[in-house]
Amino acid sequence: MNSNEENLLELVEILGGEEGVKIVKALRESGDTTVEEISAKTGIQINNVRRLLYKLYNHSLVTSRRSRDKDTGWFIFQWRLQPELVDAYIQGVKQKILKKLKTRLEYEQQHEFYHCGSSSCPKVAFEEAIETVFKCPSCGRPLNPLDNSASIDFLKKKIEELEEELKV
Amino acid sequence: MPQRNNGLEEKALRLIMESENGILQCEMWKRLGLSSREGSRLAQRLEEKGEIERDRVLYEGRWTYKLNSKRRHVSLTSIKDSPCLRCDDIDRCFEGGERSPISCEYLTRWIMENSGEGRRG
Repeated sequence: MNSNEENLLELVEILGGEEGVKIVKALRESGDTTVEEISAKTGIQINNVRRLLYKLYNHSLVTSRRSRDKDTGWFIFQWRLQPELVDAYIQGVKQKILKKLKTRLEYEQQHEFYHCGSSSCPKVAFEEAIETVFKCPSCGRPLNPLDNSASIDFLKKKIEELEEELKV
Repeated sequence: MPQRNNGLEEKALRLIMESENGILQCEMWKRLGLSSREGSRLAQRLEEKGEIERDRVLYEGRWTYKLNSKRRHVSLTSIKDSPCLRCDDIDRCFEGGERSPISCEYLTRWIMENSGEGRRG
């Protein structure tokens, strides 16, 4: 298995779970395959195969070819993998995540935060804490200042890591 | 036959990428079942496309080239546990949008879990 295929399987496991991996393995063995054939081969229900294929299609990890059945006149869709696009997809997602982390870092750096101490409650920015008179909007307990320097450090490190990986 | 050539280029690139310290040109064409001339032209094409670097080296008394990929190995590791990778709204998430990286609870939880924020009091 080459690194493209390893990445593809890892990605599909994250996006489509165990059933997604079964579908990809079936596609890898057979090349152009219909939903019915995949279902028969994997034992996964047809509607689940279709749902997962559309999900993978939206991420450009699979593609389909349409042809018409000579006897019935119906369209037949045959699916196949696009392992050559996996690296480009991963790099694209990294770009998107990087942008979001930069937005978040800026927000973390420009705001003061408060927290009630309960792990199930979200932290609250100063502006919102004033509105609730420094009471947690979720549980009502008093809010205390929160040191977010660890979050800032983590975001900076992650941003640096992604920027390094995305360098041409 | 451009499709055949592209397939061959892709195979050669993969071979070059998978060899950690580069691969000798003669090794590459032997492993792909090509002739020396075909291998040399293939390596030249990849170099012209900016995919590889060719360094002239002396190997067993003969001049050949060491081929190194310019493509970097792409890995999922750095984003594997990121909630954004699994998020169906990744393209609808921006500051002021329907979803936002500022208020996303999944992103917040991920940052807090990885930074240890909140556990320090």
